[in-house]
Amino acid sequence: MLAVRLNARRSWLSTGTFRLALFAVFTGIAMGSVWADPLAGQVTLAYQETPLTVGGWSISITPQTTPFKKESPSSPGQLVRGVLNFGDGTSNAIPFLWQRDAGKLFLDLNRNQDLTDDPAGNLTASLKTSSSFQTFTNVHLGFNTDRGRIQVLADLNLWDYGNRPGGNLSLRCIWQGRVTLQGQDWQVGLVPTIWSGTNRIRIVSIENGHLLLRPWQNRDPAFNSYGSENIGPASQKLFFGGHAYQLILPPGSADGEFKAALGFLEQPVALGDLKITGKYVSRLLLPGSYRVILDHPADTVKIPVGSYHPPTVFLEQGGVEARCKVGGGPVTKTIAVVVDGKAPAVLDIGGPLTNSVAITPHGQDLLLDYSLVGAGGTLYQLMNQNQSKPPEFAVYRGGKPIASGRFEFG
Amino acid sequence: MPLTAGGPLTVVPSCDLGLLGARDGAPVEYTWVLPSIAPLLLPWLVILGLLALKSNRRPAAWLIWLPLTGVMAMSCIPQMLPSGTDGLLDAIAALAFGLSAVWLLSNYLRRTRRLATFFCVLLTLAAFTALAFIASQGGSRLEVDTLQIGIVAAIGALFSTLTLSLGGWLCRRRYHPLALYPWLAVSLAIVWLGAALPFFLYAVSSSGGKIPWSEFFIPVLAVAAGNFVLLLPFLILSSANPFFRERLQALLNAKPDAPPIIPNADLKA
Repeated sequence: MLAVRLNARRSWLSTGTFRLALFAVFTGIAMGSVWADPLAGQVTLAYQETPLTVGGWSISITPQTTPFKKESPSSPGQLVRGVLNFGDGTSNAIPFLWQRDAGKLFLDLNRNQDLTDDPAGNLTASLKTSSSFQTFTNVHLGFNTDRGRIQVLADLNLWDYGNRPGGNLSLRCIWQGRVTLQGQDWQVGLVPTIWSGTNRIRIVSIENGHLLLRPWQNRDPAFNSYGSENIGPASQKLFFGGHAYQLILPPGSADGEFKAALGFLEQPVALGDLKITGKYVSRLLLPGSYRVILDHPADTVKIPVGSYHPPTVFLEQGGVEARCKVGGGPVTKTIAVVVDGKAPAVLDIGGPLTNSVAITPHGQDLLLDYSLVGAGGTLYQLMNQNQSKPPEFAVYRGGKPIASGRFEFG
Repeated sequence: MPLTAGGPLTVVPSCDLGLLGARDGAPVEYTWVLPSIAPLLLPWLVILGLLALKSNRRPAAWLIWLPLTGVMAMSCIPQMLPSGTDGLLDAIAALAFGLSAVWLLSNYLRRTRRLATFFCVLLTLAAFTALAFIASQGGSRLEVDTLQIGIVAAIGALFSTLTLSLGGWLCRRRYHPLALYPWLAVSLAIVWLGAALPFFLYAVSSSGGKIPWSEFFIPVLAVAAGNFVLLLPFLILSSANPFFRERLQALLNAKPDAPPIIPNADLKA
């Protein structure tokens, strides 16, 4: 009996342990199991609508001539009817009817082929330069993403110049918050990518969206996915503030909604020296097994050992900013930096910048090509350059000026 | 850059870089050997050479300079073409040289068969247009955009020849300038629209059956009108001057003017 009772007790114990484990697992899943890890920091992100665009994507439009099940009374003039495609598949596609001459757009936001039961989808063009190009602002759209459903604020541009109608979407929202890591405050944020296309399988994605990460004291400028604050995809390993982290996105909540939070799981890494030859580097992004983010780095910095692809470099001095030209110059073309932890690796980038000109004969003319060159021959371009003051040139012969002019873009 | 500025040059780029760098860049030395202007003169010398042909040794033949210099002057008007299409001026100038050559050689180009005349005119126009176009590039390496403009010139040569042949066929019974001009204008429109038809059909099919009226017809008809404006000075010369009227009739394979009938005239041996 004893033995039997003992067995029963052990059985009860093991069942209880199993239940406890199950409870822990389900609780963990419900809470986001990743948070069970010893995170160095975590932050709940707040949805914030912005006055300016944080990113833009083209929209592919599938036109159709067949009327939808239920449509608003048509106004006289030209109609464009079809589906706005946000990524592949149909789950994010939005049927629409665009009354061009009336400047009205009807979106089937609940996707039931009834364009009369979506009050939020009944839009009037805010910018109607012509019946061929119209802008609809403050549009709230819902999308299914790889991390749950989201609602976003966007502006829609639609055009139809007689060929296939087209459009683009300008996103005006961000999920952002403050996280404290190793005693330093950082602003972090997420912007989904609204991919759209036909060649590859594309989805509306949070993981592949844009990540904002900058010191909290630098949070004032509006985020733009083309700016220096854009780190890259949100699902990656990062090295910043002298520490390496695995960025963790929680899964969607039980009801399928996007759970706006980020976790930072510190990673042990071996570090090596990187020597930066140039000056005025305000931000350096080095993609590798860890994406290294260095803000105002010293001449020599420690980063994880590994091989790094060509960097993205931002310079700033006295309020003037420049960034290395994408695909230009030897650094962005060929140089891959290898940090081995023994001898310091050298990265020949940075300022000061030099105005430069290349001269080539072209028939009866001389072609003068302007470029802005930094250390190591990297090509840069000024950010926020005054377009009314383009670079100039002067030609001298025997010390006397004989010609001058301005460079033209292109 | 003026053509007279050859020799050792120093070029200094400048731009306000704030504290990121110096305003003036490093001076770049370049010794520019003035390119020969011979290539630019070549088309003009060729026209002079054609004027030396026996059939052109008349003062009236020198009137060919009027339409040629007229078109060249038009092509020098700033902003005559939309921004970004300035390169087409080279094509227009080259076609003007080609047409001048054809007008001066038309006596040699006329054949009894209309098709043979068409090919003779086409080859002559294409050859002289190509010569003038290549010369206008000053011997520099032909690049993609230059080749594209060259293709436009070649298409212009083909369609101009087609139009002249069509005009000659339409006026085959009785040639009269006032009838020829509208026929040529209509023929040009038809030829250009016909050439653009595949693109039009593609645009219609890809836009779900909608017809892109303004986006298609206006540009194509504008190009056709430009082609007609290019031909017009040569046509006017041919209307105004008997020497060149005969040349145009040769190009059109039109019947020569019948001798005037003098009523009650006595023929005396």
